[in-house]
Amino acid sequence: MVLYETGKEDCIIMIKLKNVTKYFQTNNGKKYILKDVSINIPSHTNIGILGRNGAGKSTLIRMLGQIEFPNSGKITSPNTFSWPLGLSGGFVGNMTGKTNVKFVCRLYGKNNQEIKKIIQDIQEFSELKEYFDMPIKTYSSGMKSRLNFGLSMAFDFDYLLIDETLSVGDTRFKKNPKKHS
Amino acid sequence: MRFSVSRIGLFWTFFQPFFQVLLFVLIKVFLFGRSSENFDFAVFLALNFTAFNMFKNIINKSMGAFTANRGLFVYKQVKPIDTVIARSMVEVFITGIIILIFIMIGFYFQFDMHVKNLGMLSLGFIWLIIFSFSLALCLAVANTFVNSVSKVVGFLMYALIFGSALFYTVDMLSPELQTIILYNPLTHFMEMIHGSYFYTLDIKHVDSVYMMFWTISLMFIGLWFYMKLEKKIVSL
Repeated sequence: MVLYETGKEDCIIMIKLKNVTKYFQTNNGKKYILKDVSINIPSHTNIGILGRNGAGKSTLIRMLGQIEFPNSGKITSPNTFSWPLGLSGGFVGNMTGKTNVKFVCRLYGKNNQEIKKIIQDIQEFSELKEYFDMPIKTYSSGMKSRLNFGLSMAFDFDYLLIDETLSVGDTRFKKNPKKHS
Repeated sequence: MRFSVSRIGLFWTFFQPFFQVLLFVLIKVFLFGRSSENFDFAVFLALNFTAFNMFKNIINKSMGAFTANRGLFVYKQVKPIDTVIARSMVEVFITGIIILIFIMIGFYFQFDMHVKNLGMLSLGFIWLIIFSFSLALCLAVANTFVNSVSKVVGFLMYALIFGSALFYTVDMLSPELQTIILYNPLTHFMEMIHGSYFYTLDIKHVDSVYMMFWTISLMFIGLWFYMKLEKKIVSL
């Protein structure tokens, strides 16, 4: 994996990696994703992280979302991150879109009034229409990612962690987020 | 989520134990004739099987909890142990409703349902819930890392149906069999539950120190392995 830094030192530090090592145990020994990496990523900069499939870009995103953990070292940040918006996961298949939204709202400690408002907003934003009250397992992957994206917009995260979610969904919807934000 | 799929599933959840008891009563009546013992056999079976089914369901549902709810672990607030707690709670609530149904059926058909020691009976159930949860946590963690755990547990559950004083009391057995069967901690729970329900039975075989030993050690082992492996389970 290659890291490019823009090199502004005086900015506020957004993400701080300190001696982070991450590897996966495979049958052919340890496969390193990060090996004793220490970087500070400042805010208001664009950073590109390039790598082939399997290099560990998604793993890094998952580590920022605190659902994957480095084998040693520390990742710290003063900001809040959303959950990693991926192509799969995040929903209970048997529950409807609406009840899933309710569930996530409760996870983030919203009260009933806020939940009502969020549900209304998401229903409008995701344009799922009658599917909103149908079980998630009947959804197509595009519909799931629309709901997932709409859901993440409902909370005040400093940063959204998006992992290939926007690569699905039709062009009409791709234009849509920009209109709303 | 147990009921969201179909309404017929909802029906079977609550009436399966009823048919189970009916079946065992019929088998017993055909094989051994009516009332050779000094307590109501139907009530005895209903009580034991309600408790045992709760134990079995908590274990079985919890074992799949980590893999079934993997999608929810993308939220960092959701810890794997929450899924085991949630599934155990669902089973406890279902058991509560089944007990209510059995009580209603019992009143309708005018069974004698006087409880000898309600406090002791409740303690037995609550203790069994804690015991089941501890074992379920151990097995849930084991099942994620060892392949054939669920197969072995499924097999052992069949053995436990016959080896846990479900349709007999420990007193009915020969002394040699008694010592063997009392190594099974579940037997103590069952003895405690039906021994404190029926006036004609007692709880002299119940060894609460032995039960406590199993509960605490299973809870400790389960929590210890869970703490060690939590991060691995999250990023499965």
